[in-house]
Amino acid sequence: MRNMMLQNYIKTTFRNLIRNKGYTVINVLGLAIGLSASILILLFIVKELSFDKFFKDSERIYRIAVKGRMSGDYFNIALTPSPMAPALKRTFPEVESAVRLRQWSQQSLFAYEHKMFYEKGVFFADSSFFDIFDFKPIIGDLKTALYEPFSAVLTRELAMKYFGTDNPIGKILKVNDTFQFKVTAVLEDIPENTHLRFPLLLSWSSIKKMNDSRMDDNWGSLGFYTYIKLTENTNPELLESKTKTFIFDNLISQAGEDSNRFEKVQVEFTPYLQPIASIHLHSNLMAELSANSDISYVYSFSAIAAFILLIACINFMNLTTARSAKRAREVGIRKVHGGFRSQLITQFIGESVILSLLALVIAIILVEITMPVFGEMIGQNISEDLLINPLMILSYILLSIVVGFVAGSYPAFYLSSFQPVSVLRRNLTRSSKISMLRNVLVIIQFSISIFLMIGTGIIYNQLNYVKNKKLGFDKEHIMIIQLRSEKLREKTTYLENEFRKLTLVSNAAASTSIPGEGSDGTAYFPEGESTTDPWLIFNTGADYGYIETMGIEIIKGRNFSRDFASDTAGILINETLLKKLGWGDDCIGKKMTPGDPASKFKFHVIGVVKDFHFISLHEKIEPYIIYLSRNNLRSLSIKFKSGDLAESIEQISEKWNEMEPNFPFDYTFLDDTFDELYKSEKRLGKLFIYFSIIAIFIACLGLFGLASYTAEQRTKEIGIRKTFGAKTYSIAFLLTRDFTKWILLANVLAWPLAYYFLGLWLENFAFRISIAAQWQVFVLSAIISFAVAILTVSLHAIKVAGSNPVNALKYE
Amino acid sequence: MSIIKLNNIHKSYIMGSNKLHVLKGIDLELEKGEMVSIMGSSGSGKSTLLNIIGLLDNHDQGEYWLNGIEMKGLSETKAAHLRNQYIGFVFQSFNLISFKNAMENVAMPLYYQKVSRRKRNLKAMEYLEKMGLKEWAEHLPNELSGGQKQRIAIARALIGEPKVILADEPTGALDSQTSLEVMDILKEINDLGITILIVTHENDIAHRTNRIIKLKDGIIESNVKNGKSHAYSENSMAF
Ligand SMILES: Nc1ncnc2c1ncn2[C@@H]1O[C@H](COP(=O)(O)OP(=O)(O)O)[C@@H](O)[C@H]1O
Ligand SMILES: [Mg+2]
Repeated sequence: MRNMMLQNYIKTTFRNLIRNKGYTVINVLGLAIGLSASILILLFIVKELSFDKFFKDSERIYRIAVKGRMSGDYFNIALTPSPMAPALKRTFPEVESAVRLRQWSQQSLFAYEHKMFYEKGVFFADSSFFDIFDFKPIIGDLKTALYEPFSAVLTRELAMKYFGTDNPIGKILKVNDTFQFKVTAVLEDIPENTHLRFPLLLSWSSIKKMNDSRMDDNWGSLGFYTYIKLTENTNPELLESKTKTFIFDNLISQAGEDSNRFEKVQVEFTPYLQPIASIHLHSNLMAELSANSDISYVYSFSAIAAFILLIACINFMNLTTARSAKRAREVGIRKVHGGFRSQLITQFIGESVILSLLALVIAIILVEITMPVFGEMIGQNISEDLLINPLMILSYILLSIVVGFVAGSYPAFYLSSFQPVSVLRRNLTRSSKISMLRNVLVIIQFSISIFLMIGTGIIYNQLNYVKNKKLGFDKEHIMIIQLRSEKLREKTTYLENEFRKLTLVSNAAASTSIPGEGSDGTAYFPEGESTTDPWLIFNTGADYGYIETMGIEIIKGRNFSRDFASDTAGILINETLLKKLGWGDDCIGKKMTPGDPASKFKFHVIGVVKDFHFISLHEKIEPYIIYLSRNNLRSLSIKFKSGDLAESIEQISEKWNEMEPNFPFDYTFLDDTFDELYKSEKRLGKLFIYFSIIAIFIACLGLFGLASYTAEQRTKEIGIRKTFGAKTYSIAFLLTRDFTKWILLANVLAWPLAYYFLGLWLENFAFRISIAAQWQVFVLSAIISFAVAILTVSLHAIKVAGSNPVNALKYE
Repeated sequence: MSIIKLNNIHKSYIMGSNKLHVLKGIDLELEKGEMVSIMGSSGSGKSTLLNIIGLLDNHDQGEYWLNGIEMKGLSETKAAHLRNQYIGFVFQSFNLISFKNAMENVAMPLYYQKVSRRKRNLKAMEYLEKMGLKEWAEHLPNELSGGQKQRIAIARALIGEPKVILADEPTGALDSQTSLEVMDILKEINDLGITILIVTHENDIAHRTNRIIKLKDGIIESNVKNGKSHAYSENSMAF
């Protein structure tokens, strides 16, 4: 008996769905797109939240960061002094193990037989590395793998690259044509969801043997990453409070009698612990290993997912309630024939849940199809495992049942409360209560869409602004070649000259760093300022011709010149520094003492350069110094004449291979380096734009369905009006007018919210567009929302308005 | 000059693969100021004929002259304009707009003549008063009786000052007392010189008109004037 009833309901459901094919399609499709978009976002969020949690005991692993102050300038950096890790382990029993890492700052050339590749992000690591990070070994003993000097631990991918299927253990990799490292172990590839990614690790003990300036036991120089694992049940805050002065104390004792000097310069170093799982989303310090994401992205994407889902749900509710007028008769008849209210409620909710489950099936198929594209967009692989994880599957099913339930419940309770008699007698199409609810929902939908549209516009404009902002130098057509070995660096002048001879090269010059890459700061004692309190000023060393190559503008004084022998002690300062020092026009010839105030060596100012962005537009422009340097020049910049880029690259490449056959030709372009700085914004900005478009599309789909219902329900009125002389366009206008009102209201709601939240987002950028000056985006969004709504509605209005009024009047 | 002249009017409806020939050559002439009724069994094509005369529908074949102008190949807009100018409609089911009050319903045709709202409403009140419904102006249709609704519909048909009123079973939904009242009103309107064409299947309603036309199987079976019946023939084309 029950079974029969159930069958009956299911039959009715499908009959209903088929009878209203158009609306069913819109309903299911809208929901399916909404669900698939939110599932994709969900996968993305789950992935973001999973970072660094796969390590065994990850809740006990911390990175040490240092907050501090140096001569008045505050900093917050992910680096520590090099002795930090072993000292912590020695001093505090609650530190179970500690490891220090040193990233090899530039790409290095690795070679095995004839196979040569540049590798980026290589680490030197203490042998305790694997006590903390339980990366999975394939071959080799991780306990001892990093013990011996010149040992290397490779990832599977890298091992394959150099050794193919041969056993890599014991094989020798030649690095930068100078050092030889022996492979001691191979790891499974590093999972994507960790901030700690590397192609291979080199043993810490190699550093000393390499006799390299990289090793630095000074407690005052922050250049090393320290990770610790605490013993169980250790309170990290307690350890933090015990280590507040740890660095400073060690600094004093290391300096011996010279110690009072630090108190004068107000050095402050306060180490603190960052739970490793929080780094990816909550840490944005100086010297992060890689550009981290931000929890705000997780929030905004959750919001977008919720928005999209909400819009899709609203569609669903709107279309279902809109149809309620037609269903009302069915309800009346069912009730007359003894249907119970509860049965009817079950029927309506059941219908809606069946629909939403159907939508889920379609959504999963859509997700499957779009996942690779999506992964590419976010720059990460979303793994299939995550999609078919039983917990995830359960949550999708739950989600769509809830969506179906919520969407179906209002019409269910509303419809089933109809009095059968009144339903059968009266026409309920314009029940004001229910159409009011519908209007409110449409307004919400469009407010969200307009908000997202404005967001899209503002994000797009800001990213464009960043891209096209005058940086104060010309980043176009500049090729950067890294001079990786001492051997190469010795030949700098020769290389510069050879390149300058090429027809397509307009200039070439080497420097210690390039814009966009981050600079080092050095202590300076400017003339007339305190002799104890140094100024920490960012600087770069550059060869003759650097200023011309970069297209930096000189606004006072002159450029470095070979005609003045004293220029070897000359410096150029930037406008910001000039302003800070307050030297005005007298700046030329002023002295600056680097490092030690008592030192005999003094720089003198020969010119002032116009401010330029040597770091990303996230930061404001800081004081800056360019000094003339002939050694330690790591980057060679080559400026091309405008013209055939491919041809230019070819010329350089040939020349390089002729001069340096031991180092494969490898280059970057300066504008790419700058683009890289905004990669995450750009990627997420794009993602935001795409999902906004989806949201807007779903909203339009809903509007389309609703408009067709409205038009259908007003068929008779339209017939009457036409009979008495209404023309097609005036009917179309009549039908569009209501929607126009709602869209207007939606704009009024969305504007202030967009203004507020996007204003917040823009604050991430030191250099940003002013949101008030973006009024065109607001106006354009309004126009688009009107255009889309009117177009959607008119499609129907015109069809209905153009039909023969007789038909409308005849059949009631 | 006759206000309405039909010449061999044909009309069929296509329903799927079938063709339903509803009007099979209608010849008909109405003089200005006449009050004529059309009778015939259900499905004989009365409404179809009325809709063609009212420009709500097109004829397939033949000639239709309204006020001396041939109605041929009219655009939507043109038809709407002519309806608004020449014709008033009254329906069996009233066809009032349910969420507009009596006055707004009456005023509606003037909206499409681009009359200002103030003037529209004034004139609507005037016509409601003529129908004795002044105090019902603010009421919605579902608060009114059938007779009142039909009087509102008549006021609406009149407000545009049409030359012809087409009424499709105007008394079909009313009791006999109310029906007679409605007929009296239509008679008064006719006395003002407005041509009236009524579709009905009630004999006593038909007998209150000057002429009775009977439709059968898509042709005019008889055309009875002033109570005197004479068989309809091709020859009667002559008058
Ligand atoms: N729009 C239409 N489409 C198809 N058939 C129609 C249409 N309008 C009327 N008919 C058919 O034409 C015939 C005449 O209809 P109608 O003029 O309404 O008759 P009456 O008003 O005399 O009852 C009927 O059989 C009806 O079913
Ligand atoms: Mg009829």
